[in-house]
Amino acid sequence: MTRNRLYTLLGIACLAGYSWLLLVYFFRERMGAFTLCPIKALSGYPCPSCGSTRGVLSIARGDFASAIHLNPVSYIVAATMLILPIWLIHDAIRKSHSLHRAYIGGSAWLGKKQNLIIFAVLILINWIWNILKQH
Amino acid sequence: MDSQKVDMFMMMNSKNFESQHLGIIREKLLNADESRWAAAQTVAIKDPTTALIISILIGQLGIDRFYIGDTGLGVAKLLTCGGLGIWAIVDWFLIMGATREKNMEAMQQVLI
Repeated sequence: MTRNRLYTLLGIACLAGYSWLLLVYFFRERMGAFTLCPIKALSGYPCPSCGSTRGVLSIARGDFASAIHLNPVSYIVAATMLILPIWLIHDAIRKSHSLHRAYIGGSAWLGKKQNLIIFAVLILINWIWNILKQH
Repeated sequence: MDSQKVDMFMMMNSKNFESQHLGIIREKLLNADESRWAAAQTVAIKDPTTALIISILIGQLGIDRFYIGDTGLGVAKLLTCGGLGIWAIVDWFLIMGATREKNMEAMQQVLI
């Protein structure tokens, strides 16, 4: 993955993420049970990250406890959404590669077998909890 | 490297690389030393069709990106409900090309 391709992708992802948050924030009543998550729409069961939109909005309101209950993943998503745009703009202005290097380093670190297994187990536990609390 | 070996390798792996890269790979293999043959054969080449099947079945969890070695994007996809479900669908069309690109990267590391 080249630097510019990664930055374009992350930029689009950031824009889409913020647009989605604003959409949900302003039209929550009218959206009802609408979900973009195919797993939830098809099976009725939540996916590992379902609830993180509401979680991020809770964090934005300062309601940290209910964010944990909705989905702990929302903390990772919220932190990423805060840091990523600043880092992207910093790299774009300074013409730096720091985010690209961090991405490659982070991917390689997580790609190691033992780290990947720990990550998968954590996600699975969170998923089971996510399913249990909605039924 | 022996041209017969190289041609056999190219025949077996032609669907695993972008067509515009095939010429470069063949040339590099021909110019490479005979001792690189074992290394070239053990490169972890991923099958684009398998990646597509994974993408269609459980792409929403980012497993397709993990499979081809894009761990960072896999995590991003996993933690965002498959990019709000949209990225998961876009990836049905991108994943085969992405797999071939990754294979090329892996080959390049062996054939510098």
